[in-house]
Amino acid sequence: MYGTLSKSETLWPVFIVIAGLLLPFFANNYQLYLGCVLIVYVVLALGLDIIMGRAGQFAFSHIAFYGIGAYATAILQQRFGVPFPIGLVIAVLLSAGIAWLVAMASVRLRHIYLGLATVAFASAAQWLAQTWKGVTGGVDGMRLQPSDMIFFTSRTDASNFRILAVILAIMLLLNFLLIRSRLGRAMAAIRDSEHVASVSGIDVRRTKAWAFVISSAYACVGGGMLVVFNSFIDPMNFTFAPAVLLLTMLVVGGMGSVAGVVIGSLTMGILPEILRSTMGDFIVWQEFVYGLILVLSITLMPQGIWGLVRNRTESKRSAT
Amino acid sequence: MVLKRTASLILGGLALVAGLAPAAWAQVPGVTDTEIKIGMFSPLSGPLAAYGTDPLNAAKSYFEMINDEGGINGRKIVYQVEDDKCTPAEANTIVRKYINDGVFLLLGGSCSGSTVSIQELVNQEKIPHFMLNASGDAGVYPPTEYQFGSAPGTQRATLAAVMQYAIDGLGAKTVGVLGPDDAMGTSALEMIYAMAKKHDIQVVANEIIPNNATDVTVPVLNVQSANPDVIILTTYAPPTTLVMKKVVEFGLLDTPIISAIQGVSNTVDFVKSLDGDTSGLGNFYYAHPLVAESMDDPELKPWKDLMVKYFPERPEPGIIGAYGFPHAMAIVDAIKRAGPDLTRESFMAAINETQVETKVMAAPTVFTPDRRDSNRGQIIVKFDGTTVERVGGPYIWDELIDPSTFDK
Amino acid sequence: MSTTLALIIISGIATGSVYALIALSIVIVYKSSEAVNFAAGEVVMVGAYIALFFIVSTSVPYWLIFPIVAIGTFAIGAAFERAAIVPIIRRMSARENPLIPIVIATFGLSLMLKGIVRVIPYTEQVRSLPPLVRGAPIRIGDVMILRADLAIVVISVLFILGFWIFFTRTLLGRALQASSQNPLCAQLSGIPVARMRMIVWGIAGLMAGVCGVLVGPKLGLTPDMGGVIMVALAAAVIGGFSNLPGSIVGGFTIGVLQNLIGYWFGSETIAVAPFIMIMVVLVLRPQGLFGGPVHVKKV
Repeated sequence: MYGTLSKSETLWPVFIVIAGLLLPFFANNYQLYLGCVLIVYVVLALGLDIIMGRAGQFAFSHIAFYGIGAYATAILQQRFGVPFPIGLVIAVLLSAGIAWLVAMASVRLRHIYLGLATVAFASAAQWLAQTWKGVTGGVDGMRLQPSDMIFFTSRTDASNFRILAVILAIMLLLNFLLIRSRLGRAMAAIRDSEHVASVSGIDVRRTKAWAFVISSAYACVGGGMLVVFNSFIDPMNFTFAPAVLLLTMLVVGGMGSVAGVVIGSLTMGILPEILRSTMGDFIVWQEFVYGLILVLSITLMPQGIWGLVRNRTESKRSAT
Repeated sequence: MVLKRTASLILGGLALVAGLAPAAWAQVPGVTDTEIKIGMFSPLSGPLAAYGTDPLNAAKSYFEMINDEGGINGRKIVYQVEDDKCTPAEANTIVRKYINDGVFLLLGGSCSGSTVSIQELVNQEKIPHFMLNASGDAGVYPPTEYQFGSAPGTQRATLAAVMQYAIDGLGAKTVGVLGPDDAMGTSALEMIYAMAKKHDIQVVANEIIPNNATDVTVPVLNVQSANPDVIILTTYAPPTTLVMKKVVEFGLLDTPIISAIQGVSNTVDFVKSLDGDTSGLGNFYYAHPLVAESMDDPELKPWKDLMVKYFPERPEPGIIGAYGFPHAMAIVDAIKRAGPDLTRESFMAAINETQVETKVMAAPTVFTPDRRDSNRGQIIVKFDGTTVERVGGPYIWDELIDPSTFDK
Repeated sequence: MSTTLALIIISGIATGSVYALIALSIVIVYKSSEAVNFAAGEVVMVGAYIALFFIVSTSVPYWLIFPIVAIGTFAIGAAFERAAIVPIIRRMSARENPLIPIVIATFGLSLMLKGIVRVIPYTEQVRSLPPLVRGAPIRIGDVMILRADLAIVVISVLFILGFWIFFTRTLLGRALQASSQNPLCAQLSGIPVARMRMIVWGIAGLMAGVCGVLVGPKLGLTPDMGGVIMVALAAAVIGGFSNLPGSIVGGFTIGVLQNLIGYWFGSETIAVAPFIMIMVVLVLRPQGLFGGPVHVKKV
């Protein structure tokens, strides 16, 4: 795992960029918008997987940094005229700073305590977005202008999709690099056993804090991406429900693997769309069916879709 | 850039010819010689389904009635329905899907967030969007060309009526407010303060009750200790129930209470929500925009019968369903007036001169080029637990206060 | 002490007793399965609706509603353990932590319960249960105490006492305690640990369901009333999360403190108070106010 990128790891981002640039020629606005939604889910889920799947820490605060990213890029662009790419970098630095503080405060916590502390942090952040009217516009939300990309202004679904595809490719590449880095290995060691990791000379606190900061930076980028393809954001985007949805994506797809995370975010992202268009007169049962699918997929595949696929192929290999 | 644009033109053209040929030939999206296609959406599942189901059925049953009567200028209305769950992301996907499918106009949305989130899109695509029963102040102030809203009336309309009655009818010199910390609550406060300023009265308490509140002791006691002449509630039904229980508990029975429309959907359910305990209703008023207080009152009964005729699976539609009628009526009315050569332009010209007496709402449904909130009237009723008595209105908000007060 | 302050504290104690029961329900599940049951709030809601159903459509006396709801919600908890928790644990390899899959499954359960209840016609509008007892409030000077509030506190305290006796004095209760404290030893001494876990989930469901009947008259009934779990979580955290008496104290603390914070800092802070309390407690004392040293599971 350690070392330079494999062939497929370099090819995937390149493929995504090419596909992302070409797809808008063939797809309609509906498909492109849906594509944008799914791309943001993938970036958010990749980020959440860094702290949960790679470092094994149960953190709910992702959604808060998603909100910080969205509001920071939106405010920088609307009020101060900062172009999106520069605004996004500033937003990432800002949220990394906040994430560092949260990590320092919560690094002693393990297991469910960290989960609960971050639930509280996310809920408090959402409350702040609702209450701090002078900055966020409060519950009235913020109307967004088309994003200023320095060289051009992104006005259409097609150009929004292209921008998002490029960002996705970058974030995916960074994710591969992280996994293969020293830090990535240290994170995996902590996930497997904190005790063994610290004995073998890994600074557990520092590694956990870094995992948290990087994971939060991904969420912040996801928030920035939300601003690119939407004309309106309000605090309702950052409630507990999307936080649960993200967690679901990770678990349904399979934590700790890029393929699993991508599969999970695409499946759970598209599921409401499928349910909505297939359930017809039974649409009132949608919430129930969604819950049922969730429980069934967890009980049948606790390691996720990818975990199941991997187990199948491994057992086949060992059988022959 | 030029190269890219040419390439996109060629490729886009190819895609059009290949995939969308029939739609591409139609002159006006969604209009043929025999049909007018309308894209509808509202929350049909999840927490807000109760706000979306009946209004949607009302609009659909009105369209069915028009079709059964022979349609409009030889065209029948066909509609598609989608469930937006009141989330901006789903509303955005649905609207884009409808635009691609080629609908003539959009009718949908029961919540402020999802309707405001598509405002820019519908204006950019120049496709008229009528909100179903969202009252969202943010969607109609300031007005935009292609988004039409507020069948039940905005918070501006509601609170103007509430304040006017508090001042005229109850002689209030001071008011205390209990409201949610959401978009509705903030819009409501804007009007409360504007009216208070105009009439030189005091807002002595302004307490927040979130929609998921469990213990409302503190806000209720705070309002009580400020001792206002009138208490105004802008909360939704669940917290309104909690407040009314506390009112009984603390014996706040002498101070008149006026609730906005969102607190009391209808009297029967309101009493049920208090478990039949009407002792807190000695001095209770609420605002609503309709011609009657219950779907079984003679004025609304024909509309209930119409809904039940086409949707027998819901034999007792809620009164909130009535809010689905006005915009369906305004749409049909404008299509009629636009004449046989129906285009978006002729429709827009017609809709901008809309003045419909709906026989559902107490005030007429009006659209003009600079007015996108169709209903500006509210009436105030007194409810003692058994009988409802109309005590004021219809109040029309722009007659009570100069709209330019709110220009930013 | 001013009258207002007294009223605020009394009301806080009444709601606090309910938070304490929900917190207990969460904590006993945590002790046996090391997972947080995020569906506890929805079980409260289902309990309340079962009670409403029997009150509206039958003439069952009020006291009989409690056992009916208890049986119903015990069944939900136990069935969920059999249908979801058992397969998850069986399919996970020993070194993986089943915490996150179980948590996700409880999110799924909460959606299912909300989804079912929402389809029932009379859940579209807010409803209330009749008060547990009627009658004029008891007055102590200017301060009045509602009989219904008193009844909630008394019944919750009786329930808590009952559970305490059950867990410490009965054979089954001790077996339950043993199997959550040290499953391996319990297994060796002949306790059927797997079945014990089912009973724990059932009892947790029962506690939450009874809460539903208790809060029914005080809170309005809506399919979304399960959101109260956030406050109960705060109560459990204050109490140390794995400490049963701690979470009871936590429940009362948070009920009162939430109101006091609202009183001192304005009513818009009531909603955020539980979250601030969770963060403050965890940062200052990671094991909660009453928790012992953090329990680390050796792999």
